[in-house]
Amino acid sequence: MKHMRTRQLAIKSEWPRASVVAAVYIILSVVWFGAVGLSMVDSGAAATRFHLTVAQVHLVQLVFALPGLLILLAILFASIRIWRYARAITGSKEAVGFQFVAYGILTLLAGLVVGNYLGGLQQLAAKHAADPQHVKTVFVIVSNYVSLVAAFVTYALLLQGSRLLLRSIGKRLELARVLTPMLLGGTVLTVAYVWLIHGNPSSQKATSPDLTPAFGLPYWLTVLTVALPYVVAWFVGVLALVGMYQYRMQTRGIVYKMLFKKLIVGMTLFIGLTILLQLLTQISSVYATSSLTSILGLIVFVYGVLAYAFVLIAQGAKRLNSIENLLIE
Amino acid sequence: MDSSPYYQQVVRATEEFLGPAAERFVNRQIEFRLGKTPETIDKDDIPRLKETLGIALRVLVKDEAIVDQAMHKFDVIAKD
Repeated sequence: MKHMRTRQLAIKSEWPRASVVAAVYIILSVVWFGAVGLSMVDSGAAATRFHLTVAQVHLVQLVFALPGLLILLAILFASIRIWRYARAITGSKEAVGFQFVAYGILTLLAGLVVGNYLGGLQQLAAKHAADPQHVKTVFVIVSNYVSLVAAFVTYALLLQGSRLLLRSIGKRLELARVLTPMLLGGTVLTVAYVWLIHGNPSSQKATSPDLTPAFGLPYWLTVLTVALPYVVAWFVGVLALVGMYQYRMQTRGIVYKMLFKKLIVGMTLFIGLTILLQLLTQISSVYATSSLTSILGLIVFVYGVLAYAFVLIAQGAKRLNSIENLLIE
Repeated sequence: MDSSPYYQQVVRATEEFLGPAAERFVNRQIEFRLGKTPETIDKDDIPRLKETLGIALRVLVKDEAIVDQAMHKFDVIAKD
């Protein structure tokens, strides 16, 4: 026993190579700071609103760009870990399911980057436009639809991943027990969401030239093409989570389930928080009059927990991968 | 060539701990540690596979109760 030692196999799991991962991290950082730079083009409105100088607004934007970048890096880190795990178990029944989970997380990353660029471009385009409010409205409409599509595709890929994981153990997504509470929760959420949009004075048009409308569309069109599709996307996200929990409950292996736990806790926080974040973003005009401290506090809190969620997902995938790499000599 | 009956029992016992990862884990240890194939393992290989799983479980979860449970499963296979 004493002469034995454990060794980590690192044949398939080295992919993608560390140099490639480092290059992707650097590109992502450059892209992120490019988006932040674009958003700094016109900080006059924010300066007026929060009674700060333009330089102070730039400083706040930079300080808060860093946690944003850390979130992106954490998302990338988590997706690479899951991807590596899926690759390490290539050919197994559950490999494709994990691949879909990794694709889902990567789609979220792409959606966040594109959304941020659109926000930055909006500032740039509005500054040089004859009718800045019209430009802002067009960007808000496009940005909302891009975010909606990204959220829907992310959750749909995660749902497909969880369905494939369940199929790998000969099970199907069991809806009987969860459908009633989900429909009830969905109805309450829909009513609250639609009510908040209805009560939002800047839903279609901004209440001040400095602000941006929340949706830029008539009320009925906002409800039909943004609010309701978002609720459907959240429903899909929660179903994906239900599938993951059912996979953990029904699969065999005491130790496997223990190692899977971190991944599923991370996924719960990730899906729950992205839903909360999307809801907060959609009704952002409700707290448009809030103080800078409360808005920044909320952002820091949500970002912090979201980063933690992705670290948990990455750790979970790494621990599962350790079974595949472990070799006793 | 059919796999050895001992192989089937080892995989089944390991599945209770490593779930879907069990067969891959057992195959890897048989190949790298014993230098054999699933078809050729016999009763004499069980103690070494038991030892291997014990070490792996200690590395993965550090829970002696789980390790003891796994060791007992392998003892039963070895007695068959």
